[in-house]
Amino acid sequence: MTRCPLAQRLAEHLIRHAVRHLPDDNREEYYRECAGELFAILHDSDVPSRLRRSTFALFYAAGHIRSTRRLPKAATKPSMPALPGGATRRSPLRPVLASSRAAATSWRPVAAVIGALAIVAAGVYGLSQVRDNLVLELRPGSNPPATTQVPHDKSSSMYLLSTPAGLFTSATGQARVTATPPSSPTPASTAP
Amino acid sequence: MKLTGPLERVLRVFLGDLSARQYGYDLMKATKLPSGTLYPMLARLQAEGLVTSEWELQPDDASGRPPRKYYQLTGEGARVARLELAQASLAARPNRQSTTRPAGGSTR
Repeated sequence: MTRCPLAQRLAEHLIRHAVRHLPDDNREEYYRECAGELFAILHDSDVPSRLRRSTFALFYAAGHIRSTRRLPKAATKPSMPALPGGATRRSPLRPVLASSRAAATSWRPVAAVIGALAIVAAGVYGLSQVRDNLVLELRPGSNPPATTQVPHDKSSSMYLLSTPAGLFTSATGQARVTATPPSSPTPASTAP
Repeated sequence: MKLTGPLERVLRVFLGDLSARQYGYDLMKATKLPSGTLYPMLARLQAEGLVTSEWELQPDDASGRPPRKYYQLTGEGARVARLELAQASLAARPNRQSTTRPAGGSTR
């Protein structure tokens, strides 16, 4: 297995990107020529520093991108036969695509703001849950947070955390729904 | 063909040794031109028939390097290059003469 240096791979990637702007019949030859030059640059004995050779190879590849981008578009695309009467051929989907692209562009900032707000809300909610859990774990006898209630069975804190607000389980294991959580268990309330 | 500064440098390198075949990196080093300038210029010269290119058949050394593409000035290219460079030097000469100072005693 042969391993190319990182600079060579990067430069080849850039050149591959550059030749995309060329006509199809020139791409292969241009890439072959540039690959040969890259090898010469990276193994140039006149430049002792490897870093300089690598930098030069990257600049060499970037120069090709610059030059191929400046080519006129007519040179990079296959020629289209002219329509009779001098009419130009246009795709019927072109206006639809253009309008959808414009709509997507205008909605992008709004979607970004909504997404950011959703992320912040989720973070705040998660942090409040973590805080509640910590309070319950570290101070079982303290006042519980507003969203949770410390039940009379304090042996299992995980059990407490999984109990939703308004739903309380009695000592016998039966669940009941209360409008307001009881402040202290009474024998009457625990009776089946 | 409009003779620009970079093109003049390239032609001078080619005319320095007409029989020598040059590859792109050689020309870049000799002319100190970036690849983004040199290669389009070579392609233009080739399209005008002033430069020919040919691929190296087999690399001489066994380093595993890929074959190179060599460029060489054609006969017509050499003629046009000499002519253009001569015209450029002629055009530059009057400017140089105009900047010289007049003979002493004629001023003041």
